[in-house]
This record gives sequence, structure tokens and C-alpha cells, in this order.
Amino acid sequence: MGGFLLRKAGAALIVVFCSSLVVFAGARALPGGPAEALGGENRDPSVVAAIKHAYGLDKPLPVQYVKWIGHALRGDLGLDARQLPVAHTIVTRIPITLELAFLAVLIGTVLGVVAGVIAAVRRGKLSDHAATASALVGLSVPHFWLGLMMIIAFAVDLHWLPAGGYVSFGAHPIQNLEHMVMPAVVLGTGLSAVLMRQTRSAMLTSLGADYVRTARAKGLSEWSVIGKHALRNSLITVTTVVGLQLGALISGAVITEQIFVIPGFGRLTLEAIDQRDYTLLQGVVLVAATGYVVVNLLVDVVYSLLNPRIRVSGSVTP
Amino acid sequence: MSVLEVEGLSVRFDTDDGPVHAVDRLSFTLGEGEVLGVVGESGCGKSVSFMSLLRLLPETATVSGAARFDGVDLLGASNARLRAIRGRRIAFVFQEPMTSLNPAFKVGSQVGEVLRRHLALSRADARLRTIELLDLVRIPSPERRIDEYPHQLSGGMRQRVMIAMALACDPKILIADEPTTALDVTIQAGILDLMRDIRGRLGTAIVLITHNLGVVADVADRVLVMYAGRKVEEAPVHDLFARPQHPYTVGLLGAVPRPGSGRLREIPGRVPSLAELPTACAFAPRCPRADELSHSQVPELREIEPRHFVACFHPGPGAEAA
Amino acid sequence: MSFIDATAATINPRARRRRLLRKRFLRRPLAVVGLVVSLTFVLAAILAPVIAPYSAGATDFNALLAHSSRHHLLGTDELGRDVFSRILWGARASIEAGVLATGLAMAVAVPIGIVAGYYRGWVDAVIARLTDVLLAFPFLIVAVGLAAILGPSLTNATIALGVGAAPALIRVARGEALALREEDYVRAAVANGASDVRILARHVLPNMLSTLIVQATVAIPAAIIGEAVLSFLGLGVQPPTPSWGVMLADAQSYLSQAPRLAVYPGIAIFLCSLSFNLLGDGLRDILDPRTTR
Repeated sequence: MGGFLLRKAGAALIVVFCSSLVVFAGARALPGGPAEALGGENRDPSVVAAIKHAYGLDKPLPVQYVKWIGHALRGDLGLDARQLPVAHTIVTRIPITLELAFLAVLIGTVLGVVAGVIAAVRRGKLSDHAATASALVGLSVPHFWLGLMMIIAFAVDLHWLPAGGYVSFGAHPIQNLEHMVMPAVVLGTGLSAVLMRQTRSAMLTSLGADYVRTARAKGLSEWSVIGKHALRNSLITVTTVVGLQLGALISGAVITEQIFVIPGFGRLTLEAIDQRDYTLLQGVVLVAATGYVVVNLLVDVVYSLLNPRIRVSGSVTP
Repeated sequence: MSVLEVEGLSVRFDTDDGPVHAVDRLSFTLGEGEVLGVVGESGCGKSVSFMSLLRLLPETATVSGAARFDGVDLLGASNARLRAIRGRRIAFVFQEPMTSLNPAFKVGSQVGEVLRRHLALSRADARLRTIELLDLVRIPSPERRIDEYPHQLSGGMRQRVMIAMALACDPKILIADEPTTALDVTIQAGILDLMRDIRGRLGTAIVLITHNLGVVADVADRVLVMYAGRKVEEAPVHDLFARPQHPYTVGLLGAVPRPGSGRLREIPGRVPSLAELPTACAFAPRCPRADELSHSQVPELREIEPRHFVACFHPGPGAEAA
Repeated sequence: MSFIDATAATINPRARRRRLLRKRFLRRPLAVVGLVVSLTFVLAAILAPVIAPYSAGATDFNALLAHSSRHHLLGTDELGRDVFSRILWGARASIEAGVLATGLAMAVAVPIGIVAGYYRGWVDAVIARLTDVLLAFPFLIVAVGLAAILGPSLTNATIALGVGAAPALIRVARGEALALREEDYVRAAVANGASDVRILARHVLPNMLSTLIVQATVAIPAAIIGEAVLSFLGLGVQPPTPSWGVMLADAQSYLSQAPRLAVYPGIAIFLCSLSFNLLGDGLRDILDPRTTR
């Protein structure tokens, strides 16, 4: 297991490195150039040149990159357009998005896996068709539209939930959840639909396997056969799928935060791009890419724990 | 003293292409501590018959007839009752050791599962007993193996684990479905040895399902020959090999490779489709003794010598047994 | 036919298979519905100039936020524009973006993926790492970033969507090529001395076609929704040109007064996406070797 994870970690590092290069180059490619953006309305060449010099923007690109990466590794991501430390802004905003993502993954996973198991066990019956149809609908619905619909239904018409905004958990746990429920459901829907289908498919394979027949022949209860023997093997597939869906989750978080006006990390990204705040943008995207890679690594850890072949031998082939 | 009495067992599968009569009115008894060999080609219904006793068949199967085990009506018992019997009093060993163990769990826990479920042993006790069982089936270093995963064991060892799992609760009957087919010849001998040992030491009745007559000659007390879902011959092992009566049995014996016997004699033709119940002798199309009678009526079982039954209109060693 | 072609053809007959697939497809009502509805949307998009009762920008200040009536099938929006017509016109932008983005992604991803999977070695390693890097950026960030650099417009949004969808397709193409290179008829062709280009073009690509088609039918709705997202954020189609995403963005300000303005475009996206998904599911089902019907 150690060897497997070491290789994955090494690959992750390479990815983070390349991502940082892309981020760096990308931010410089944004129209308007960093110096002009910092200078504001003033387009006087000498002023621009002075700004460039002050920020070290006239040095060769590789030097700028090294300087930037050096600072980043020490936790300093520079100052944004409003002279606020980028790292601080990011750090305050991330927990909000993390809470949203956590709730979404929780809802999506529980719904998806349970529905998938039920559909597989009751294959061909009404519950299977209902679950499969719901999953298809969940996949086809544009989730930001779903968000709008939910706002109309629950906030505007029924006044059960707030239409947007955010209250921190520390301040008001109940209100925090009230604000988070709809966004989390919206974000989790796509995940649950994909997971439902994958779980169903994996369970159908497991349920037809020889070892399930053995489990029945041992006189184990149906609960044990399905919930322990069959499901355990399906979870390996499910974990892989969750890992693959994380990217979609991040995209979804951006727009969900936009609709529900949640001051999270996703919204920050849009603000950064909107305002051409390239320092902020660099920091944001770098953190996003690194975070994504780290989470994927965690998924790999879970996968290696679940799959005994990896755990013991370090690879899938003996 | 018989532990299992089966009467008129029939299994029908409802498939997309129509019904398949896999087993047709099978009857036999199994005595306490007896080793019964069940022989026949693939698809003759041997595995299906025994799986039906424990209700291990898919939903498309319809099972009829009667099967009494230790006073319990197996075919009519509730699911809960059956689950209490499975693994505890009747145990099954399947033929694919490579895939019959759950790859996600350690070998020891899979054996321990049976102990904890049926005998309510504590974790610690189950672990001790598991080591004993692994030792019983002659797995070396059982204290180490107990914590390994199936993929770390060879096919032969996995099969032994399956047998250990089956013997865990000291069942009255052990049904072994082609226990050696998926294994090397050299390993086969070890498994068969083990079976003899089990019968001798524990007094377990064993049903040995196989298409390999050599295996049967080695271990069985009595042999049951099946063809196209029906029992065609049944006899004590020595009698069967010395005086086979049914032309199919004769053919099978002729097909066993023996050093110096020259060309293998095969049985011409193929197993018939099981889509309809037979209206004539199922073996007739391939039988050298077949005549008008064979092609128009279904032969019933007759006792041709003490405890030796055959379903044939022309029983006898025949000219083919040269 | 050259000897190489003849050998491959006898091992690999396709016409019979096509007939079988057609029969299987017709036995699946949901897939047929998916096909019909998605084609309807595509036709509606193509024929919008002909069938739309009003032009996209035609305003009527006497009928603002009107309910459905004889004149306006689905009512009007905040500027008096006919909603039904805008949905038809919007179909053009959305479906065009969806189809073109997917086409672009395929055109880029398939060759790269095939090369990576077929040749393996360092080429594969490099491509795999690059793909991983691209995948580390969630599709939306990539699309948003590109749109920000290139400026907001439908074309740029389409390009951004295509680039965003490419990495996943590269993986699929690579996987297929990897599996196909072990097939007997490919090995036979290699042994017969066929050139690489010939092998890839005549043996590898045609056999990946079914998987690629399935991927396309799944990628298109994702791209359509992606375009809606980008337009919603103001990074795609610019108002007043209609697209379903733009309509939803406009509707946000009127959620309490006229929620239906948000409902109709969303339903359009939903139905369009659903029909493509049903079609894709059906295709995947009939192309699965384990299917019996």
C-alpha cells in the first residue's frame, strides 16, 4: 500500500507543479495585463513602467515564477487589488465551501448508494424503475436551474427557507443549515444520480458473483449477504466514481454559490475573474488545483484501504 | 439410518427461450456417514439437484417433489429455517475456488463468520476454532494464513479454505460440487485424501458431485449416474465398476483413459436439449442398443441385483465392454 | 481488395451487425423517444428562423410579462419579447454550442487519445500527465478562464467548452485504443505489414466508433448545460441574442413576479438533455456485448 500511495503522491506533485505553471501563464495571458490592472485608470506609460518595476513585473518570466512559487510555499500569495492579503481571503472563504461540499457529498453519497442498492436488489421491479428514472432525471437537470426552481418553491412561495446568503455555523447552527440545505441538495443531486447508476451496476455484478452464492450457502442472513458481502465489493467502484466526480463538484460549487449568494471559495473565483484581479486569481486557482489534487489523493487512500489487493501487494496484479 | 431422502425431485427453469427441465423426478437416499458419488456430464443436472435442496437456485427455477432431511421438509421449509440449516447442518462446497471466496475479506474472517452466525462463538473463540479448522484441512501455518486475503492463496488452498468453512459447524452432510475440477491433478489427490480423512474422522456424509469417474472410484461408497436430468443407474461403487448396466455408464467407463488401453472410446452424439420432458429414453439417440422400445417409452428404474438400480430397456455389460 | 483488407474484412463483418443493432434499438421505446425528441430539438434549432412566430428581439411594450395567450404561446418576458420564439431561437445557440463543442472535443481528443493508447511508451506517459493536469482544473474554471481571456461570445464559449470536455474524451479514446491494439485482427494487420496509418484508420478507429458515439451523445447534453451555465454567468452568448442560459439569467431578477420565465427555458434544457441521455443510454445498451435482446 505504501508503494501505491507513494507513486500517487509523486504523480500528484507533478500535477500540482504543472498546474502552477499553467496558472502563472494563464494569469499573465488575461487581457489588460497585470500592470495596467494595478494602475487602474492611469495608462501613462511611465506610471505603468513604475508599477511594473515596483512589482517586479519587468523581470524575466522564469524569475517572476520562482519568486511567486517561493512566496506561495511560505503561505504568502500576495495582495489583491484592494491590498488585502490573498491568502487570508482564501483561508476565510474555504471553510464555507468545504461545508457546502461536505454536505453535498454526504447527501449525494447516501442517496445515491442507497438508491443504487435498492434498485439492484429489486431489479426489474417498480422501485428499480423509479430509482433509475430519478437518476436519469437527476443527470439531465441543469442543477443551477434546479436551484432557481427550489428558490421559487421554498423561498418565494412557501417561505420555508431563505433564498440565499450565509450564516456561519458557529454563530447560528440552525440558520446555517437552513441556508445550506438547498445549495447542498442542488449540488448533491448530480453526484447522487451518477452514484446511483454506478452503485446499481456494481451491485448487480456483485450480487451475481460466486462469493455471494457462497455467503448464502453459509446460511447468512440476506442483510449480511447484500449489505456486507456484495456492497463491500461495490464500494471499491463507488470510491473511484466519487473521485472522478470531484471536478464536477467544484464546478457545481462555483455556480451554486453564485445563485445562492454564498460567500465561498467558488464565488471568489468568479469575482477574481470578473475584476481581473490577477494576483487573487493566481492564488485562487493555484489553491483550487492543489486542493483538488490533495482530495484525489485522499480518495486514492480510501481506495487502497478498501481494495485488499492494493493494501497487501501494492498493485492490482499479483 | 438415512440422513437425506429425496423423492421425485424435479427442477424446471423458465428461460427466455422457453422452459428447461434440468432435473426430472430424481429420487435417492443418503445414509449417515456415507459417501455418495454423483456422476454425469456437464449439464446433466447434478449440481442443480443439490443446489435446489438448499434453495440456492435463481428465481427462475421451479422446484417440485419432496426432500426430507433429519425430519425437515427442505423444499417446503421457511427461508429462516433453511438459513439455519445452510452452513450448519448441510454445507456446500462449490467448484470454483478462485471466485467463491469474497476477495474483500480475510480468509479467517470468512470462516469465522459461519462459526459466529451459527454457533454464536465470540471473536476470540471463533479465531481459535478457525485455526483448528485450517489445520484440519491441512493448510500449513494456519495462524499466519488466517489473516491473509484470498488472492494471496493458491487455488488448492482456497479450496481447502472452502472445505474448512463447510466443516466449521460439523454438518451432517457435506455436498462437494466438483471440488477438484478447477485444480491440478496433483492437488486433486490431496483434496480427495482430505475427504477420506473427513469421512473417517468426523463421520460426515459426503455427496461428491463430479464428472470424473476416477475420483469416484477413489472415495465413494455408492455411485449415482445421471443423464439429461434423470438418474439412469445407481449401485455400490464396486458393483458399478465391475458390472455396469446402463450403456451410458458403460460408455463413461470406456472413456476413462487407462495406460495401454489404446484409443479412447467416446460416446457418439450430444446431450439432448432439456426443453421438453422426455417421451422416450433420453439416451436412445446415442445408444448402440437402442430399438423401437427405447424410442417410444421412458424406461423406469429397476433393481437388477441387490441395491443396484438401472433405468434401461436393455441393461447389461453389453458387447462394448470389451 | 488488397489481401490485407480482405483478411480484415472476413474477420470483421459490419453490415450484418448494423442490422442487428437497428433491430435492438427499435425494441427499446425509451431510446426511440430519446432519438425522436433530440432530433426534434435539433430540427427546431435549424428551422427556428422559419417556425418562430416572432424574431428574437421583437419587443412589445404593451405586453410586458404577459401570461400565455393566443398571441404569445408561453407569454412574454420583461421586455415584451415572445418567450416561445426566444426558446426556439435559444435552441439554436444552445444546441449549436453543444454539438460544435462536442465535435471540437472529439476532433482534438480522439487522435491524441488513439496515439497515446496505441503507441504507449513515453508519448503515452506525457499525454497522460498533461491530461491529468487539465483534469485538475474543473471544467468550469477552464471554461471561465478561457472565456475571460478570449472575451465573452458564443464562439469563445464553444471553444472553451470543447477544451473542457477534451481531457475526459482523451482518456476514453486512449482506453479503447489500448484495448483494441491487442485484438487479433489488428495484430494480423501488423503482421501483414500494414502501415500504422492504415491500421489506425481502417481497424482501430472504426471499432472505437460505437464507444465514441455513445460518449458524444452523453457529452452533448453536458456541453449544452455548460453553455447555459456560461451564458448564465455572462460569459457566453451576450444579450440580446437569446440562449437558454441567457434567458435564465434574465429571469433571475423576476423570480417572484414571473417565475415561469425561469421555468420554460429550464424545462427546455432539461428535456433536450434528457432526450440525448436516453438516446445515449439506449445506444450504450444495444452496443454492450452482453445484451441479449
